[in-house]
Amino acid sequence: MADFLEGKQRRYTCVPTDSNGNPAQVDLSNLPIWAVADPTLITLAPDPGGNLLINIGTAQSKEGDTTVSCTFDADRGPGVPRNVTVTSAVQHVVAPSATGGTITEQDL
Amino acid sequence: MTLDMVLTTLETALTELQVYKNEATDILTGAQHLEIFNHQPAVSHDTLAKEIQTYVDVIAAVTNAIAATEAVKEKYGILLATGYPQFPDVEALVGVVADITADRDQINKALAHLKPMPEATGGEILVTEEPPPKK
Repeated sequence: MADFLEGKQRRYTCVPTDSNGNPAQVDLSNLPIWAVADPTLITLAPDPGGNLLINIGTAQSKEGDTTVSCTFDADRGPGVPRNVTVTSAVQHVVAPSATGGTITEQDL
Repeated sequence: MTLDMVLTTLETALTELQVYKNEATDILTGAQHLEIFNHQPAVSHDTLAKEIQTYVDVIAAVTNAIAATEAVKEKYGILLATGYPQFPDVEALVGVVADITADRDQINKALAHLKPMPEATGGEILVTEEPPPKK
Protein backbone atom coordinates (compact mmCIF):
# COMPACT_ATOMS: atom_id res chain seq x y z
CA MET A 1 0.00 0.00 0.00
CA ALA A 2 1.11 3.55 -0.64
CA ASP A 3 2.70 5.72 2.05
CA PHE A 4 0.38 6.90 4.78
CA LEU A 5 0.73 10.69 4.63
CA GLU A 6 0.49 12.94 7.67
CA GLY A 7 -3.08 13.96 8.45
CA LYS A 8 -4.59 11.38 6.12
CA GLN A 9 -6.96 8.74 7.43
CA ARG A 10 -7.39 5.03 6.84
CA ARG A 11 -10.14 2.62 7.79
CA TYR A 12 -9.01 -0.56 9.52
CA THR A 13 -11.59 -3.33 9.25
CA CYS A 14 -11.08 -6.50 11.28
CA VAL A 15 -12.37 -9.52 9.35
CA PRO A 16 -12.52 -12.59 11.63
CA THR A 17 -12.29 -16.03 10.07
CA ASP A 18 -12.58 -19.58 11.36
CA SER A 19 -9.90 -22.23 11.12
CA ASN A 20 -10.99 -22.94 7.54
CA GLY A 21 -10.65 -19.31 6.50
CA ASN A 22 -14.41 -18.76 6.34
CA PRO A 23 -16.11 -15.69 7.84
CA ALA A 24 -16.64 -16.14 11.56
CA GLN A 25 -18.35 -14.49 14.49
CA VAL A 26 -16.74 -12.94 17.55
CA ASP A 27 -18.20 -12.35 20.99
CA LEU A 28 -18.70 -8.59 20.99
CA SER A 29 -19.96 -8.55 24.57
CA ASN A 30 -16.25 -8.27 25.36
CA LEU A 31 -15.07 -5.18 23.54
CA PRO A 32 -12.39 -5.76 20.89
CA ILE A 33 -9.09 -4.08 21.79
CA TRP A 34 -7.38 -2.08 19.07
CA ALA A 35 -3.72 -1.11 19.26
CA VAL A 36 -0.93 0.47 17.23
CA ALA A 37 2.55 -0.98 17.61
CA ASP A 38 3.98 2.57 17.55
CA PRO A 39 1.19 4.90 18.69
CA THR A 40 3.29 7.96 17.88
CA LEU A 41 2.82 7.18 14.18
CA ILE A 42 -0.92 6.50 13.99
CA THR A 43 -3.75 7.45 16.32
CA LEU A 44 -6.90 5.35 16.34
CA ALA A 45 -10.49 6.38 16.86
CA PRO A 46 -13.62 4.21 16.96
CA ASP A 47 -15.69 3.90 13.83
CA PRO A 48 -18.30 6.72 13.83
CA GLY A 49 -20.84 4.13 12.71
CA GLY A 50 -20.36 2.18 15.94
CA ASN A 51 -18.94 -0.95 14.32
CA LEU A 52 -16.63 -2.41 16.96
CA LEU A 53 -14.57 -4.22 14.34
CA ILE A 54 -13.66 -1.01 12.52
CA ASN A 55 -11.29 1.77 13.60
CA ILE A 56 -10.21 4.95 11.84
CA GLY A 57 -6.50 5.68 11.93
CA THR A 58 -4.90 9.09 11.40
CA ALA A 59 -1.24 9.44 10.40
CA GLN A 60 0.81 11.67 12.68
CA SER A 61 3.68 14.00 11.76
CA LYS A 62 6.43 11.47 12.13
CA GLU A 63 8.00 8.95 9.79
CA GLY A 64 8.27 5.24 10.43
CA ASP A 65 6.74 1.80 10.10
CA THR A 66 4.07 0.33 12.35
CA THR A 67 1.13 -2.06 12.37
CA VAL A 68 -2.44 -1.93 13.63
CA SER A 69 -3.87 -4.88 15.51
CA CYS A 70 -7.23 -5.95 16.87
CA THR A 71 -7.70 -8.45 19.69
CA PHE A 72 -11.14 -9.96 20.17
CA ASP A 73 -12.82 -12.63 22.23
CA ALA A 74 -13.71 -15.79 20.35
CA ASP A 75 -14.85 -17.67 23.44
CA ARG A 76 -18.30 -18.98 22.60
CA GLY A 77 -19.02 -20.91 25.73
CA PRO A 78 -17.84 -21.98 29.15
CA GLY A 79 -14.16 -22.75 29.58
CA VAL A 80 -10.96 -21.03 28.68
CA PRO A 81 -11.34 -17.71 26.85
CA ARG A 82 -9.60 -17.69 23.53
CA ASN A 83 -8.43 -14.25 22.54
CA VAL A 84 -7.48 -13.85 18.91
CA THR A 85 -5.24 -11.06 17.63
CA VAL A 86 -5.02 -10.09 13.98
CA THR A 87 -2.52 -7.59 12.66
CA SER A 88 -2.50 -5.36 9.61
CA ALA A 89 0.20 -5.12 7.01
CA VAL A 90 3.03 -2.70 7.80
CA GLN A 91 1.90 0.92 7.56
CA HIS A 92 4.63 3.25 6.34
CA VAL A 93 3.88 6.71 7.72
CA VAL A 94 5.56 9.76 6.21
CA ALA A 95 5.27 13.49 6.68
CA PRO A 96 4.99 15.05 3.21
CA SER A 97 8.06 17.06 2.24
CA ALA A 98 8.11 20.13 0.01
CA THR A 99 8.93 19.43 -3.62
CA GLY A 100 8.17 22.80 -5.17
CA GLY A 101 6.09 25.96 -4.90
CA THR A 102 5.42 29.43 -6.24
CA ILE A 103 6.02 33.04 -5.21
CA THR A 104 3.20 35.46 -5.76
CA GLU A 105 3.78 39.22 -6.21
CA GLN A 106 1.55 41.89 -4.79
CA ASP A 107 1.80 45.70 -5.05
CA LEU A 108 1.76 47.41 -1.69
CA MET B 1 -45.67 -47.97 -1.15
CA THR B 2 -47.33 -50.02 1.57
CA LEU B 3 -49.10 -48.51 4.53
CA ASP B 4 -46.29 -49.58 6.80
CA MET B 5 -43.78 -47.80 4.60
CA VAL B 6 -45.91 -44.65 4.55
CA LEU B 7 -46.20 -44.76 8.31
CA THR B 8 -42.44 -45.24 8.74
CA THR B 9 -41.79 -42.33 6.38
CA LEU B 10 -44.18 -40.14 8.33
CA GLU B 11 -42.60 -41.05 11.66
CA THR B 12 -39.15 -40.27 10.31
CA ALA B 13 -40.38 -36.94 8.97
CA LEU B 14 -42.03 -36.14 12.29
CA THR B 15 -38.85 -36.85 14.26
CA GLU B 16 -36.75 -34.70 11.95
CA LEU B 17 -39.26 -31.87 11.98
CA GLN B 18 -39.26 -31.83 15.76
CA VAL B 19 -35.47 -31.59 15.74
CA TYR B 20 -35.65 -28.65 13.33
CA LYS B 21 -38.28 -26.95 15.46
CA ASN B 22 -36.18 -27.31 18.61
CA GLU B 23 -33.13 -26.00 16.78
CA ALA B 24 -35.01 -22.98 15.45
CA THR B 25 -36.42 -22.25 18.90
CA ASP B 26 -32.95 -22.31 20.44
CA ILE B 27 -31.59 -19.94 17.83
CA LEU B 28 -34.57 -17.63 18.21
CA THR B 29 -33.97 -17.47 21.94
CA GLY B 30 -30.36 -16.51 21.28
CA ALA B 31 -31.38 -13.85 18.78
CA GLN B 32 -33.88 -12.34 21.21
CA HIS B 33 -31.22 -12.35 23.90
CA LEU B 34 -28.94 -10.38 21.59
CA GLU B 35 -31.68 -7.87 20.88
CA ILE B 36 -32.60 -7.38 24.53
CA PHE B 37 -29.06 -6.81 25.70
CA ASN B 38 -27.79 -5.17 22.54
CA HIS B 39 -24.70 -7.36 22.62
CA GLN B 40 -24.18 -7.01 18.92
CA PRO B 41 -24.46 -3.35 17.97
CA ALA B 42 -22.90 -4.12 14.57
CA VAL B 43 -26.26 -5.68 13.67
CA SER B 44 -29.11 -3.24 13.42
CA HIS B 45 -32.34 -3.86 15.26
CA ASP B 46 -34.17 -3.96 11.94
CA THR B 47 -31.91 -6.74 10.69
CA LEU B 48 -32.27 -8.64 13.94
CA ALA B 49 -36.03 -8.19 13.97
CA LYS B 50 -36.23 -9.59 10.43
CA GLU B 51 -34.12 -12.59 11.44
CA ILE B 52 -36.30 -13.21 14.47
CA GLN B 53 -39.42 -12.95 12.33
CA THR B 54 -37.90 -15.49 9.94
CA TYR B 55 -37.47 -17.87 12.86
CA VAL B 56 -41.02 -17.25 14.02
CA ASP B 57 -42.20 -18.12 10.50
CA VAL B 58 -39.97 -21.20 10.36
CA ILE B 59 -41.22 -22.45 13.72
CA ALA B 60 -44.83 -21.88 12.64
CA ALA B 61 -44.19 -23.83 9.43
CA VAL B 62 -42.54 -26.68 11.32
CA THR B 63 -45.36 -26.77 13.86
CA ASN B 64 -47.94 -26.95 11.08
CA ALA B 65 -45.98 -29.68 9.31
CA ILE B 66 -45.74 -31.69 12.53
CA ALA B 67 -49.47 -31.31 13.15
CA ALA B 68 -50.21 -32.46 9.59
CA THR B 69 -47.83 -35.40 9.97
CA GLU B 70 -49.38 -36.41 13.27
CA ALA B 71 -52.87 -36.22 11.76
CA VAL B 72 -51.84 -38.47 8.88
CA LYS B 73 -50.05 -40.82 11.23
CA GLU B 74 -53.08 -41.05 13.50
CA LYS B 75 -55.32 -41.74 10.53
CA TYR B 76 -53.07 -44.54 9.33
CA GLY B 77 -52.72 -45.91 12.82
CA ILE B 78 -56.45 -46.31 13.07
CA LEU B 79 -56.61 -47.90 9.64
CA LEU B 80 -53.84 -50.34 10.48
CA ALA B 81 -55.55 -51.22 13.76
CA THR B 82 -58.82 -51.93 12.01
CA GLY B 83 -57.09 -54.29 9.60
CA TYR B 84 -58.10 -52.50 6.44
CA PRO B 85 -54.86 -51.57 4.74
CA GLN B 86 -56.57 -50.94 1.40
CA PHE B 87 -57.17 -47.31 2.17
CA PRO B 88 -58.23 -45.56 -1.04
CA ASP B 89 -56.32 -42.32 -0.40
CA VAL B 90 -52.85 -43.82 -0.26
CA GLU B 91 -51.67 -41.80 -3.26
CA ALA B 92 -52.99 -38.60 -1.74
CA LEU B 93 -51.32 -39.33 1.55
CA VAL B 94 -48.05 -40.12 -0.16
CA GLY B 95 -48.42 -36.68 -1.73
CA VAL B 96 -48.79 -35.20 1.75
CA VAL B 97 -45.56 -36.88 2.78
CA ALA B 98 -43.83 -35.40 -0.27
CA ASP B 99 -45.12 -31.94 0.67
CA ILE B 100 -43.87 -32.34 4.20
CA THR B 101 -40.47 -33.42 2.90
CA ALA B 102 -40.36 -30.36 0.64
CA ASP B 103 -41.24 -28.12 3.60
CA ARG B 104 -38.56 -29.81 5.64
CA ASP B 105 -35.95 -29.14 2.96
CA GLN B 106 -37.00 -25.50 2.80
CA ILE B 107 -36.82 -25.20 6.56
CA ASN B 108 -33.40 -26.82 6.53
CA LYS B 109 -32.17 -24.25 4.03
CA ALA B 110 -33.55 -21.40 6.14
CA LEU B 111 -31.91 -22.76 9.26
CA ALA B 112 -28.58 -23.30 7.52
CA HIS B 113 -28.66 -19.66 6.44
CA LEU B 114 -29.44 -18.34 9.91
CA LYS B 115 -27.38 -20.62 12.10
CA PRO B 116 -24.77 -18.83 14.19
CA MET B 117 -21.50 -18.42 12.40
CA PRO B 118 -18.55 -20.53 13.56
CA GLU B 119 -16.31 -18.96 16.14
CA ALA B 120 -13.32 -16.96 14.99
CA THR B 121 -9.84 -18.41 15.22
CA GLY B 122 -8.02 -15.88 13.06
CA GLY B 123 -8.58 -13.27 10.42
CA GLU B 124 -7.09 -10.20 8.83
CA ILE B 125 -7.31 -6.44 8.93
CA LEU B 126 -8.37 -4.77 5.72
CA VAL B 127 -6.97 -1.29 5.15
CA THR B 128 -8.76 1.26 3.01
CA GLU B 129 -8.15 4.95 2.45
CA GLU B 130 -10.65 7.28 4.05
CA PRO B 131 -11.83 10.54 2.49
CA PRO B 132 -10.19 13.63 4.04
CA PRO B 133 -11.72 14.57 7.39
CA LYS B 134 -14.26 17.38 7.22
CA LYS B 135 -13.08 20.69 8.65
